Amino acid sequence: MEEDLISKKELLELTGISYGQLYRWKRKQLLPEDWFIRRSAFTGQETFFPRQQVLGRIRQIMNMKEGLSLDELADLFSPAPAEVDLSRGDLLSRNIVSRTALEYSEPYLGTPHTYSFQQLLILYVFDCSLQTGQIHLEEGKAMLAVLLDDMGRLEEYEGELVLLRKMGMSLVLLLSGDREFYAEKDAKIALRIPISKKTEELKLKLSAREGRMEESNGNEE
Amino acid sequence: MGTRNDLIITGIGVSSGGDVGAVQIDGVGTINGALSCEEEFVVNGKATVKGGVEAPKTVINGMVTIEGPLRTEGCTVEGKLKMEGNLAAESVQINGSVTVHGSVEAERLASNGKLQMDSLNADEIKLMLQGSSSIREIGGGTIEVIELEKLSSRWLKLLPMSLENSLTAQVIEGDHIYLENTAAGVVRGAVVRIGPGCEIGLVEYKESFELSDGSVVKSNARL
Repeated sequence: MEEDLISKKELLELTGISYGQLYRWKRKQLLPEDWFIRRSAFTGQETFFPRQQVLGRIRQIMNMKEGLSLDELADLFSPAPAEVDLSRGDLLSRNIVSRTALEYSEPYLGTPHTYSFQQLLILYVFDCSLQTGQIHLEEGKAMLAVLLDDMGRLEEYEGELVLLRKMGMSLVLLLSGDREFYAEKDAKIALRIPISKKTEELKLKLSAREGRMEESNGNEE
Repeated sequence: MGTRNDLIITGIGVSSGGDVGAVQIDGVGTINGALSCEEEFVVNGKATVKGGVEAPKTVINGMVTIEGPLRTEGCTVEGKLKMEGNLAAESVQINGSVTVHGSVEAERLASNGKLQMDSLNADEIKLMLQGSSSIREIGGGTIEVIELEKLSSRWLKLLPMSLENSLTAQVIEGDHIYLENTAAGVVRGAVVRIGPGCEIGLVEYKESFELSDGSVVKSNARL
């Protein structure tokens, strides 16, 4: 996974973007600095990128740059939380989280007047995992509890939510950072949700103007 | 928070830095910490900042050392600027010498003088060479490197030091590139023009490539 790299040359050829665009996006931090991996090649230094991530990001930028400025895009991709001030009614009318998820979360979250970004993110992750249809409600509630207790510990919301099952028992894990883990053979990974991806999706939803949803949320529903 | 106080040094002065309104140093100033300015950061004379600087506008007439990053919108240097951190700006105008132990990022950078940088990333880069500049990596949209005037006085050339107007780089990448008096390992771009006085290892181009007499390009390839 780590070694699947794409050279800068190949990247430009594949995506059709220019050096000017690539460097501009780097300046605006649309492409994070640590994706630029310098390796020595026979022609001297060459820059490589993690293939999946950079191609995905460039596709997103190309799709959205018509509607949003580069600075708005940069906010979207940055791991820092967005500023939010939304009430329960806003969340429902703008279709950010489902009514079911909101109702189930009430015993844990209460009914705050407005939701913070972290609370929204937790709700959103909870909602997404329920909507996959892969988990039971009880497991979902366990997830919610873990997220509420420990989401704040993740650095810049980098982490992964994992649901393991073994012989009818389930266990929820919240992993910090981008780490691999290995479970026993007869344990099944029922669900893996990268939090940073959900952060991006949530910001996208938040930035979408009322009523008009972005089409790039392919993995919804 | 209230309104911030301006930091004004006329003559010789020392300050501890911090959050200020505008900074105006006429003379010699030492700032023993980072500076966050609400308004412009102006030095006429000499100043040392033992930390980073943040200011909407930076004007340097004289000699300034910043032992940290500089984040600003418009930056003008007449004289000498030496930095230990990265420089990020909207537009940079240099007349003199700038040394940055780090990266420089800007939308536009125009310079007349001598630059030492680790990397330079700007949409429009125009370097007029005076003295020997070295930048490890240059990237951007339009990159133009020219030698404005040849060294006129012949006796200066007799001195044992290098007084050539030249640029040394490892990698130069951009959409439109024109180079003079440049020694570079690799130059990659859409439209690449190599003017006089260059020595380039490899040119990779997408649309066109021109090579003027008196320059050497070891190999070139169309992509």
